[in-house]
Order: sequence, then C-alpha cells, then structure tokens
Amino acid sequence: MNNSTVANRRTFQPWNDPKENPFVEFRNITKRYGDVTAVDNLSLSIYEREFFALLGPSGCGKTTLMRMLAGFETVSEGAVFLAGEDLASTPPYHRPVNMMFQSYALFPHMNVEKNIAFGLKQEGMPTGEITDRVAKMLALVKMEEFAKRKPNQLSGGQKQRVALARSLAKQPKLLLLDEPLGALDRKLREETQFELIDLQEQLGITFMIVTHDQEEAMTVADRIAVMDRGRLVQVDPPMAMYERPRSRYVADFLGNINLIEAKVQNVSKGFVRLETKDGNSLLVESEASVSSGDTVWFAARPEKLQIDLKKPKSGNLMSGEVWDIAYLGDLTIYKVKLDSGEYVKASVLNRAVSSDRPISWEDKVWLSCPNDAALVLTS
Amino acid sequence: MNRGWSPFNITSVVLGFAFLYIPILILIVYSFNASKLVTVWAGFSIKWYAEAFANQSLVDAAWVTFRVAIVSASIATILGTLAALALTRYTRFHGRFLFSGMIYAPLVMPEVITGLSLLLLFVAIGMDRGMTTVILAHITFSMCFVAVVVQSRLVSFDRSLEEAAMDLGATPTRAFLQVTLPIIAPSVFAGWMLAFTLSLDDLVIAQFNSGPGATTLPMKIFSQVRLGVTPEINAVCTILVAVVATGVIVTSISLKRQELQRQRAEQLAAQA
Ligand SMILES: Nc1ncnc2c1ncn2[C@@H]1O[C@H](COP(=O)(O)OP(=O)(O)OP(=O)(O)O)[C@@H](O)[C@H]1O
Ligand SMILES: [Mg+2]
Repeated sequence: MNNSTVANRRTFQPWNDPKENPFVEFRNITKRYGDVTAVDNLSLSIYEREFFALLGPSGCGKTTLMRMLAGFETVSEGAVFLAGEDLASTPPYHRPVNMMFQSYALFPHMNVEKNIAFGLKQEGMPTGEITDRVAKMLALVKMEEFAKRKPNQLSGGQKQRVALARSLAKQPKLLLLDEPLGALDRKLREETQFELIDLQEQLGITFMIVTHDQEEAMTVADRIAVMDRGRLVQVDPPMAMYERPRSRYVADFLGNINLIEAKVQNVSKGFVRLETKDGNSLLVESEASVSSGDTVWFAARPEKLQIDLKKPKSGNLMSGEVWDIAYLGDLTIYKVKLDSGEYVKASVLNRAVSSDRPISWEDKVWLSCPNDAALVLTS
Repeated sequence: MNRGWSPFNITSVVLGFAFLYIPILILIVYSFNASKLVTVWAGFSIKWYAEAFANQSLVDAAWVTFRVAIVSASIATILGTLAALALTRYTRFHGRFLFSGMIYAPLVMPEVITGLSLLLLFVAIGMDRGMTTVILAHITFSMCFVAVVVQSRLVSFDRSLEEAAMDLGATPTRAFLQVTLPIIAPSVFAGWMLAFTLSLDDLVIAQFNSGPGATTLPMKIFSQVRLGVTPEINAVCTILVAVVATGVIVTSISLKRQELQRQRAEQLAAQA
C-alpha cells in the first residue's frame, strides 16, 4: 500500500455519507428453515469498495446471509438489492457475485489450473487471456508448482488457497469469502490478508468476509458486523467496535474485557458515577442513558488498567491480590482477585528485557484506570 | 477378531461356490466336447463354435439381442439417471414418497406381470410387436435398476460443487454436464452395464413383447432346448457367459482402479 491509498482508507466512510447509495442492501431479511430462524429481520447496507467483515459465533447465520446474496437460498421475507436492483429473480449464475465456499467446493475431477479457469471459461474468455489470468492467480496464492495437481492431492491450506484463487479469478464486483483463511498457518494468513487488501485497492472489489478470527477482521475490514442468533448486534469500524462496544456481548466477543457489576449513583454532564458491590466509587466518562439506581456494568479492557504496588494518587481505583501471571512474550497478563472476590485481568506491555518482574504472585496491588478509558454498559 | 479357516467355514464356502458354478462349468466344458451327445465326453473340439457361427438363425438372434441391449441400456441409463436426480434433489415435492416407491416397485415385480402388462399396453395402443416393443419393455424394467445405482451415488454427492459451478457462471445444465456428470460417471456406467446385462439375458419379458423378426438369443436358445440340448447351444451360452463376465470384470476393475487412484492421491496429499 502506498501513502495515498492509506490516506484514502482513512477518509473512506461512505456509510456516514447520506448521499452514497449502498452497493449491497439487505432490507428486513428473514430466513427460516422450518422452525429454525437462521436470519431474523436483518437490515444491512454495504458500500462499493468496502471491506466488510461478519463476525459471530457458530450457527448465527453468517453463511446463510452470504448464500442469500449469492443466490443459493431464497429469502423468506424481505429483499436483497445489489446496485439498487432487487435480486429476487436473478439466478446465481447471472449475479456479478462470486463466493468462496466454507467447504472450498473444488471440482475433484479437475486439476488446480482447470478449477481456477472454470469461471473464465463460462464467460467465454479467450484461451490466451485465461492462461494469463490463471497464472496470475496461481502466483497470488503461491500455488504455481501445484497447477497440475488434483484437489485430493492437496493439503487443507492448499485447497483453501485454490478456492480463494478460483473465486478471485473472475474479478467480480462483489466477493463473498466464507472463512477464507481459516486453514492457513499464521504467517501465510497474515500475508494473504494484506494481499486481499491490496487486491481490493487495485480492483475495487467489494468484499464481504466471514471470519472467526477477530484479529483478522480488525486487520482487513473497513467495518465489522457482529451477529448473534440471526440478528446484527452492532456494525461499526474496527476501532469504534473495540473501543465503544454497545453491549457486553460485543465487548466480550471482540477482545478481552473486564466486566464488573455496579450501581449508578449519579449522572452529570457526560459523567456517570458508579458504586461497585464492595463499595469502590468509579467515575466514567459516558453518554449512556442511565439514571441513578440502575444496575450496569463497568467495563475496562485489560490494557487500559494500570497495575501498581503503591496506591496511585488519582483515577478509578480498585485493590486486590495477584492471583495468576501469564507471560505471553509481548505482554504479561496479571489476573487479580479484587477484594470483592471478582477476578480482573490487567495486561502490561513488556518494554524492558529484564526477566525479574517487580510484581509477583500474591502481591497486594492497585488497579487504576482513567475516566475516559472505561465504559458503562447497560445490556 | 481372527476367524480362522475352520472345517465348517471351508465346507460352506466350497459347497456354496460349487452350487453356483458347477452347472456353468459343466456347460462350458461340454461346449468343447467333440461328441454330439451332450453327456458323453469324446475329446476336445471347437467345432460347435464354428457351427454356432454358421447357424444363421442363431447369429441373427444374437445380433438382435445386442442391438436391443445397447439401445435399451442407453435409454434406460438416461431416464434412470434423470429419475435418480429428481429423487435426490427435489426432496420436498408432494407425493415424493409415492414416486420413489413406484420407482422401486418394478425391482420386485414378477417379470411375468411386467411382461404381460406391457403386452396388454402395446395391444391396447395398437403397436405391432417387434424389436421396438422389446426395447421399450427392456427400458421400462431396467431403468429402475439404473435409478437405484445412480441414486446411491448422488446421495453422497456434494451439492456445493454444483453451486460453486453456478456461482462461477455456469447455467444449471452446464453445471450438470461439466461438474456433476463427470463425477458420478462411474456409477452411471455401472448402471448402464447392469441394464445391458439384464437386457441381454431376459427371456420372460422378451417372450411376451417380441414379434416376428425380433427373436432374441435367450428366446432362441429356449426354443431350441425344448427340442433337446445341442453342443451348439452350449457353445453359444459359453460365449454369453464370457461376454457378461468380461463386462462385470471390466466394470469392477475400473471402479477399483478409481478407488486406488483416490487413495494414492490422498496419501500424496497427506505427505504434502
Ligand atoms: N439447509 C438448512 N436447513 C436447516 N437449517 C439450516 C440449514 N442451513 C443452516 N441452517 C441453520 O441455520 C442457522 C445458521 O446457519 P449458518 O450456516 O448460517 O451459520 P454460520 O453462522 O455460518 O455458522 P458457522 O460459523 O459454524 O459456519 C444454524 O442454526 C443452522 O443449523
Ligand atoms: Mg458458516
């Protein structure tokens, strides 16, 4: 990525622009399989050139949503629009959408090359161009030396790369990737993530990607949607999603977070004062609509909590005892048992090389966090 | 569990195979008998084969049989494959249960009834009996065998392959021809072989539905045997046995080889 595309990405926020028309629009979509409601009255707009990630636990309806867009499932209620057009009567083979299947769905009787060329042949591309395009795709996924192998002669990760290349080959307007990188090792996965971003910049493809890896979603996506049982819980850019989750579900799903039950004492001018069960008083900068007496959750991510042996002068303070220490290389995570009996995690970046940690097991410690680094969650 | 070759096991295997194959073996041996008397061995000879080939009516009957078998097996394979597709794909249409039951019924239907009912049909619509009616009759009873064979393969066929093909721009017809059919081809071929052999050795249904000039080999053999078994007939039957056995062996070898290739490929993948 060069600097200008970086700048473009930073200012790329079509979802905030009322003049933009969505490229993909799910309008009050419901999908039922008999008694099971896989997708429940869901509305969502995705914009051209957007890299959109779907996150959610297994069985929450991610694949179903994609299959309705690709045309393999009919919607029970509602409508799907692509570039302003209702897709209801467009069969899958006429939709300018390609999908990478969660199961790869490689054609077992064709070798890697022929698999990738399949879509190009269908649109009647001249043979010479097909050869070039296939070679380019093979290089992209680093599978050149496997061009003549059949799918059952490939490992899981290799199959996944072929499936990715096959779905990319037609350079569709919209690409649906159902867990495209799950079977790759970490290094190859990260490389491919950046390749995908590059490709999107070059070709202007709109991506919709399903992933179980939240780090991956944060890396590639312009916006992330978190799903739960067929509904969208929150749709936001990665940073907003991480820093300002609107519910405990989202906060917990994306990254780690400490949740402490508390009662609202008073609310004034963008600040909420809370009292925890063991009597700690906490002041949080928050716009949450709460009133005194409400039961809410004080939420703070482990990296936002400062851990000290001496009592800090100010901030939201909690005291406890170090219960467990996990050294992860870049981070050390302290699990602290608060006086109330609750457990809280605080993570510290390991700046120094020194092996002796100043804080050890069973030390009495103080945890503190600034007013604007914590959240008040109501649901 | 180690089950050794107990005397009981050996006896039952030997008796079983003997029961199955001794009659055929006798038939083959006596087709090489030099004597005209079927039951007296008088030395080795292939003269009955030469006579069988010189017997125009036998050769004609063989020729009719092969044409009937090839045409009816081919059409039965197409229809049977389509029926299998319908049964595995459209699992929710009304009357599916009845339809699938009806496809299986001819498998257990007495041939006499199939033959007779078809005869009544041809008479009712005023169709002259001949090769066409025999072919139609054979299609009718062998297509359900094809449907059963192909259906058992389709049940384990991964639908997402077809979806992927359509996703890449192939119409349903192209997706079927370029993806589904090549993958299920071995079972379609097995279905064809089955229909072919069923047609080849059918006597009852052909007897009911055949007419002048359309005498099949089994009919011919049957009518000749009523005048007494000749070594010539033994020779013809031996040829039939050879044809059928070759077909069965070729089919199973090709299926076996495919399986072996698949296993070897998987080992390769595991090493990669
Ligand atoms: N063909 C079907 N018939 C009946 N129920 C189905 C069918 N397909 C999906 N479902 C149900 O719909 C729900 C959503 O399934 P879906 O495949 O969309 O989940 P997912 O979010 O993709 O999960 P995963 O992360 O495990 O892939 C599940 O409860 C599933 O059991
Ligand atoms: Mg899924």
